[in-house]
Amino acid sequence: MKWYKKSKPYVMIGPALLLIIILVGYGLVMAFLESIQYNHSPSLQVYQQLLQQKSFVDSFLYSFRTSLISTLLSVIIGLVLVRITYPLLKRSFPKLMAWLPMLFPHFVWGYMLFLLFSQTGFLSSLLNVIEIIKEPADFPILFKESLGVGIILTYIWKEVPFVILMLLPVYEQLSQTGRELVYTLGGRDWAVFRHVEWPYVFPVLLETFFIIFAFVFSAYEVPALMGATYPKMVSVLSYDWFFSSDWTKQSYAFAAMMVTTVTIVAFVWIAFAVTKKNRLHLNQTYGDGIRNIEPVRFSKIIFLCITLVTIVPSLLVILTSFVRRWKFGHLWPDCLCIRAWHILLNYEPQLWEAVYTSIGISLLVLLINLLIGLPAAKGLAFYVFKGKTTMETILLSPILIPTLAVSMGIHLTFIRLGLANQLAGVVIVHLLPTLPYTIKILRAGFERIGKKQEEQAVSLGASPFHVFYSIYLPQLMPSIRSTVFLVTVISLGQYLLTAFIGGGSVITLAILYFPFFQSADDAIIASFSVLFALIPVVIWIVFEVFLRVIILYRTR
Amino acid sequence: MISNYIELNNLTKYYNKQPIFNIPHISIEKGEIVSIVGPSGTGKSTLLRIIAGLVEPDSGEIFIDGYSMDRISPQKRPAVYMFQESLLFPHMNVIENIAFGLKMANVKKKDRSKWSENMLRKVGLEGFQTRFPHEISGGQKQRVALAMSLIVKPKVLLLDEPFSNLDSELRKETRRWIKQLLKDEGMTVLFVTHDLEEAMAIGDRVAILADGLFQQFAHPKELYESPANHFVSTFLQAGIWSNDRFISVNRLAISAERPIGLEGTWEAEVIENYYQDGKYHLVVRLSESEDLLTIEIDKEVDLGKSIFLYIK
Repeated sequence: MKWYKKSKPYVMIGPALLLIIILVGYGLVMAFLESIQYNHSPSLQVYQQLLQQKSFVDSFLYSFRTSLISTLLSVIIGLVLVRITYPLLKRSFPKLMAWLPMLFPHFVWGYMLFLLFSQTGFLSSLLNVIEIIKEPADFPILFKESLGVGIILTYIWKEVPFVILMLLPVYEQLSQTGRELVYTLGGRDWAVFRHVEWPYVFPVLLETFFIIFAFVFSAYEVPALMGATYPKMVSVLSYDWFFSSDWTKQSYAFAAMMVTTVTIVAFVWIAFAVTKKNRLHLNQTYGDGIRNIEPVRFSKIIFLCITLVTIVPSLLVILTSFVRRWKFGHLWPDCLCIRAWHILLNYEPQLWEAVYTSIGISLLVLLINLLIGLPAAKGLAFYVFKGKTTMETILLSPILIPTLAVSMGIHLTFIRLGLANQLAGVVIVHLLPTLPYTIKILRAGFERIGKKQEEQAVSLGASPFHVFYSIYLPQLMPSIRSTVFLVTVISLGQYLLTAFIGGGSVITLAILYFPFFQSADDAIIASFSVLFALIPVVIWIVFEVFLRVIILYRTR
Repeated sequence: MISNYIELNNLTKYYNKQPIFNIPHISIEKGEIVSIVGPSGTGKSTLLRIIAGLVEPDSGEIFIDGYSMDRISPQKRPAVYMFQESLLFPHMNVIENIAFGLKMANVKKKDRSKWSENMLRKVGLEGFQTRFPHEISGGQKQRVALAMSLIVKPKVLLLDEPFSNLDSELRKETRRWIKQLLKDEGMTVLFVTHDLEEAMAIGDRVAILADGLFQQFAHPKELYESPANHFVSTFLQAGIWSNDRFISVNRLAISAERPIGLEGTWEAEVIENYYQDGKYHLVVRLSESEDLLTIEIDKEVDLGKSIFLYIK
């Protein structure tokens, strides 16, 4: 009995922890072992050669620069937007607008920006109509060029909503009294920001920074589709090496990913160490319940800009999907038709298979996420125990450590275990980029509810099942909703992991979308892109109905 | 009346190897309301949580109505713990909150709604069935919380600072009302507070918990008239200890000059004076022991002045 009580949090966190340690730890160890296999004898020679190769060094620096710029700009823009508009963002329509880009996977969003900013894109057409440029060639090349403007643009556009998602709860919980205290002591708005908001915002901002930086540094999809041939982002380079016909290149691929992993981990570790002092005393002792409800000046105008910025690409892609041919220099297509949709839905042989497979994978991933994530989140929210910080770090590690490195490492083992080329294998690896978010979201949910309600219920005779079913579940609904949404979107957007572990026999939407991207028919790609956004919405509706029914049943 | 309805034997609890409390033996009668009062941080809440089974003691036994509570889960215990700030489930309306315990006991829906409507009437909240906790006042929440606990008919009700978030006027009103209701129901209650006046007003007997021990457990009158030790008298500001003898404040008088020819005189400084209920009240600090005393007198004495106390 005593033993059980003491080890309760470990039992709750155990499954999640074990899964991540096995996948990430094992993957990294295997990747490292492969990287030192040079001529069948272990040595670090590969690393030596790798660091002398210009193509790698260029690509590494290019990746670092691209991710630093994207991340910094996303974080700054996101902070400014939240700061200005947060009382507005609490309402549901503005929230929906700000988070619209999250609905689309990164590479789909990249395509949508391509429609907007390519040489023959909408903006170029617009400039042509108002006679600033004469022909498409006058518009600057932003995609597939060596500066990576298109990539950076895509990332910023996609990550700003993520920054808002992370920061909004902080701002929602900041107390009004802190602000009033500063005012009455003679401080101005800057002092309010510096002394009331910043101490709470900073740790979250730092965490957000790392998540985005690590992601952009090692992500494959966007640069693979819109990057230049030279320099390549480091993940694209490694991927090419891994699948190149030259077998000796494989160890380079492993070594390159190991260097990337070490860089990211070192970067995060140093930044954490440097800012440690600033993060003390901040154990979520938020305000007093009095919230700021007054909108800041200009918030309406800024909000209008946000809406425009998110809705224009979305409308453009929907419109494009109904177009036969959109001539350059026209702001409205000549005719609208459902040709592209017709072709996509009826003549694309693997489409429906891909839709079912994708939905199936998403639902399974979601289910496992909730099964493992709920107890882990509760354990982290309510218990203090030895090694908690370490465990938190491990649970967050899959979003910091490049998935390419991990999947390269477990690839061979998955083949041996018969998990490769199987749906099950794909589901398992999809847990990596999703589980950390699930645990984060649900943990915040549990912390908001608190432990007292459970104790009150228990004292009134509620069994553990009833405590979950009658107390936690109804109040966790918003968190579960966010989880469903995020997990589905992330799972749908996984091209690299699916391609790697699914090996071409597990066909998901992302797998099908990639070769499509090379085709010239914009209307079909556009309709495919819209389909990507529709599926999370469908899954969300199904889940919502399902949960509503459960909750309704409770009140009987 | 059956005596020894609740019995605590050698109950101890440690935190980081430091004892929080150590209670040799306490017994409480059926229908009795017991206040537990003491400085904050003395484990008053922990004691209640142990009786409720939410926290396990490091040693000792608890008997309720003759049955040992050892290995009885908190769900099965005939004790209901009611939280500070009268905790209600925010996602349920008033009637759902009240019926919660019945639902957990698998009572049929028909009985459930009949009993909870009945209980709602008892606590004077007819018409509030479908309100949600955030739509009612602090005092009303208090009533709902009480209804929620009483409806499962516990053998003992454990109240943990139930009035802590009510303002002082409402506090007094609510406590009178609650005492009346609890007495009508014949409920056995352990009530924790840090407010001395509240403890005295509600408790049939009052236990003073400090330094991990029940310093004294007696009727309020007895506490004031014969405190068991120096701590109790200081805590109650009830009088002076002199040569292991207690002198109640009722037997003391004051004088501006040192009285001559009397055996017991004490010098003291006036640190607060106020007028209440037709009398001047002086709070004085004894020079010798630094103890505080509150004395009622007929005329005003200036703040900071030295006075002398003597036995009438």
